[in-house]
Amino acid sequence: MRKKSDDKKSFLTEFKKEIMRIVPDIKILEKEAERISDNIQVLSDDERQTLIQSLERVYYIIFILKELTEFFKEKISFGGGSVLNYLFISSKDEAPRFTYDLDANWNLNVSNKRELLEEIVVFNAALSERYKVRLPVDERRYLDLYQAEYDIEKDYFPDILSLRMPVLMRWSGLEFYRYVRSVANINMSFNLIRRLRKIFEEVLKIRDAKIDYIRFEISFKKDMPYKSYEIELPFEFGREKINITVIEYQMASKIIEKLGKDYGDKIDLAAHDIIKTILDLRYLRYCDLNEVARHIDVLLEKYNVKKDEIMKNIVRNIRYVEKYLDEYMKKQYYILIRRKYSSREIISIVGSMLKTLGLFS
Amino acid sequence: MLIEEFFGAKYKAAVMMALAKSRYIGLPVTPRSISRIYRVNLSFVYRFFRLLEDSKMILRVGKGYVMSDKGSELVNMIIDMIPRSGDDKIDFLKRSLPDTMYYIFTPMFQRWFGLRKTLVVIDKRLRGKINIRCDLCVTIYTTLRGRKYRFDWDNYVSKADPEQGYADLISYDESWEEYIPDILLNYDLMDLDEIIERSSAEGRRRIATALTYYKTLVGNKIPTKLFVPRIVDKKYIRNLTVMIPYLLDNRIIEARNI
Repeated sequence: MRKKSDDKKSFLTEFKKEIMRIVPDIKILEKEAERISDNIQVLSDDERQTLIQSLERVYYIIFILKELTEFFKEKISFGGGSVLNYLFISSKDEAPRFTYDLDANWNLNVSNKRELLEEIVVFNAALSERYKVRLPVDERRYLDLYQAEYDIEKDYFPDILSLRMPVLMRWSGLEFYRYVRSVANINMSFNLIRRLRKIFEEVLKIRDAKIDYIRFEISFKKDMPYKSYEIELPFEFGREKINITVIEYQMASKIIEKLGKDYGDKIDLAAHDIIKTILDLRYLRYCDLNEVARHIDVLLEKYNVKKDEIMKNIVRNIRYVEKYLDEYMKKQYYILIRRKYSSREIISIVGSMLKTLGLFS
Repeated sequence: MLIEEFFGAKYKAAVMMALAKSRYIGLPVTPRSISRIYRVNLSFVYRFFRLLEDSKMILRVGKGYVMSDKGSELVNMIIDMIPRSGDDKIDFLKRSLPDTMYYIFTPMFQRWFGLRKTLVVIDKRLRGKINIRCDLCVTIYTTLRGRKYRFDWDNYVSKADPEQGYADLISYDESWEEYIPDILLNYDLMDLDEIIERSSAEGRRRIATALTYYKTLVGNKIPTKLFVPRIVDKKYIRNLTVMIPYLLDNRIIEARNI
């Protein structure tokens, strides 16, 4: 007869095998760090470490993007900071800024989040067929990781469904046993913690592996143009056809909805968002500007605003954040950009592109 | 006077009740099942059966026993000693069926869907032999082998353990989703894995779908032995949307367009 301890042992072996498959190898993170930073040697040790740690999270963002794409196919498209920085900007010898969530758009008609959540349940079922990462919490029960869930803490907007996925991480999140205690109110036995630590040490080279959430959002009721881009995904995820909001539209939308917005006396609160927009607009250099201009016209008509007004706001917003740019660039999100460009150079690059579009003087 | 006081011991009362009620349906009862369901000492039960057999009160039929004509003179007296509950369907079960051959279950916490249904599970050998009239019952005839139920000495009726009861309701009731909030909101009071294990194959798929849906919906972590997302059945998801108002605050549902 099989003993209970044998079952646990075989399960731990399976758990180890599964995490070896799903958690990124440090070498993959280092390779990606090399790729996206012109010359990693110019980074300080601290910066290099921060870069690799940040990339672990980016790895999972790409993982989720790939899984969502493969499962939902035409039903979903992607846009926003992560796609722009990790798939587009970093492919053009440009330094990406770090951003840690993934924005998606649902391409079919749904009237509420309930309908979308039904789709996510089926997505979870499909994920469970591919990955079986079950963290043992006691003699017979497990917590399932790598399953999408509604992010009740972050979900505020009626047309955006906020989701998250608990994943194993080396550097961020709660230590696995603290996570178990916090989400399931279970104190793991010392023996189990010891056995899991041994596995984590072997596979992740970290004794106390952590569990953190990767956040992603799916908006609906938004009518955004998208097209299929064939992209070589980072971290050796392979080549994939992904529906992405037309990149020129994304640029136009950032110009009209973010940079050209009148923030009034709340501009100090919006400063960081404006800076992120400016950094993303570096990609204008690689876009078809005629297409960007066309989308700008469509958006001007949609919001019923005049180009002059947008231009005035752009000038005011850029002048305002210019003063703080150096300070903001010290943040870890901009670790690579600050090595490549000075604040002045960034404003100059983006300013000249906006001038070409007739939106900056 | 309580029946166990009359007979001087619980095990004797258990044996006499089981034998008296089995007389109506003509099926034998076994000492082992009496010991298990009434929770009385098996060797005492055997000893008492021997005594009854020696005094010609009972007859052996196969592996069990039935009342003899001599013993049957006691049947009405014993049945009359069983206290009534005031609920006709329950009283019918209490007075007509051996407590080893049926069990009932009423959801413990359910307040959501108005009147609560009662689950009545009856030994399949009794199909066609009895007639239960009850609009608010989920009545199932099946084998009772391996099912978890016991005699409730306070109410003189056999009741399922909560895990067994919910497993049956999820497995057999067409309105199974009505019990889901009950289970999910009280999962720490029950053994969820046991509910899953005790469910039929269809019941397992229903509860796995509900659990996965719940975890997706509220981000709650419920540790389980079974890897439930793998047995999600898409066709049940629509049934589950009715439970959202019971699991999330209405203001959240409105404000966030859920």
